[in-house]
Amino acid sequence: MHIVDSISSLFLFRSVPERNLQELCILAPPILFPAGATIFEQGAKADVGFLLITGQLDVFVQGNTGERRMVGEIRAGEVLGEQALFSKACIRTASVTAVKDSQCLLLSDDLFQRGSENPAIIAIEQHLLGTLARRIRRTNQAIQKEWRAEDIAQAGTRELSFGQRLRSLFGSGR
Amino acid sequence: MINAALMKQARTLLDNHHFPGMSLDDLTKVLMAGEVRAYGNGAPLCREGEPGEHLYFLLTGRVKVLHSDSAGRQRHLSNIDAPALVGHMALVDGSMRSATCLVEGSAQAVTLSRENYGTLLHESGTRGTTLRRLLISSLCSQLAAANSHIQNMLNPPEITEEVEATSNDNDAPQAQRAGAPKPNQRGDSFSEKDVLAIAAKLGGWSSDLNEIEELELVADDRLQQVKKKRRP
Repeated sequence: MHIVDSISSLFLFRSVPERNLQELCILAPPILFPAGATIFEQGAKADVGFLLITGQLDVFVQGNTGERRMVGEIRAGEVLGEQALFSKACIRTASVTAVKDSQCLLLSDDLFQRGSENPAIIAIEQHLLGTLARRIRRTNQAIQKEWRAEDIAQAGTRELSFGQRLRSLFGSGR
Repeated sequence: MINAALMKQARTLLDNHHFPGMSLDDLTKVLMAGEVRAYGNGAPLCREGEPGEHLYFLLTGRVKVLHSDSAGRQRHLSNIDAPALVGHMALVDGSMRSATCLVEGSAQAVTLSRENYGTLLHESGTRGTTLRRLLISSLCSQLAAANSHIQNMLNPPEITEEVEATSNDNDAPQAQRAGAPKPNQRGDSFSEKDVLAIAAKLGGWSSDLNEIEELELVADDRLQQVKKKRRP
């Protein structure tokens, strides 16, 4: 399948004319990452983002103990590493590798400046707004879940804490 | 015609954001599409659960962000200091307000109505581009802050004497006062005398502090035991 066909099949570009997608591919020729290739490494300095056109990527995070955990997967149509373009002095917070042969568009500062009026770039920006809002809501839900867990733990403690149980059995030293 | 006062405010907004093609003139034009308003202490910019009708470019002052927990209590989530965007999430994804934002002290903001926001957002010119990219930049910072918040909840940083001496942040974990009984993970606190009394009754040991070299009470979900070492 031709690359423009792959791009035009992505939902975010559903209303973008083909000539604008062709122009996008000229401004940012897609890059092929073979299966197993590293897209970027945690801790590396970042100055570009990516839009996955075909394939699949895995996201890994390495903790302080050195343990490497997979924390998510990225599918066609998703943007990754966008913080590099929209934050100051960005450092990658995760590593990303290709699960299978994957094609990506390189989202650079230059692309956004030269293509700012291209409907395909506007579509990427609007897609990013929705994606980020969703991620923030998901993170806020996780915070609320933690609050609930804390409340349950505190309620349990209020009912009969370990200290209270000990004191009821053995009395207080005061 | 460019408004000089708004241009000055736009500069401070730009200093706190980063995006491709940042332009002072273009951001000033975005601000000019809104209306400058002053807010007094406690004034609500938005209330949780209500539909989003405005987006705010906070130019001066501070906003307190409150969020209801499952029991309906208002929790202080964070503070937003100018220059910053406030109340944009509900306009971006069309959802209800996820938090209540109250002004602390006094504040000044440019308010952009939902209608103007919608018009600008779909513009292909420089105003639309600037608004979209400023919003993305703001959401990126917000996401990074939310991720950091949840990481701190899951792995709270260790409390140090230095934190206790300097922290005035309402969000900071409650500092442990020197000399006070140290709470364990479940919030129980034990004085030395408590521990000695419990240990003595458990093992029939003397509760005389001089006879005991080390006494440790371990309160753990899996293991609840009293350890004691005697002096040789």
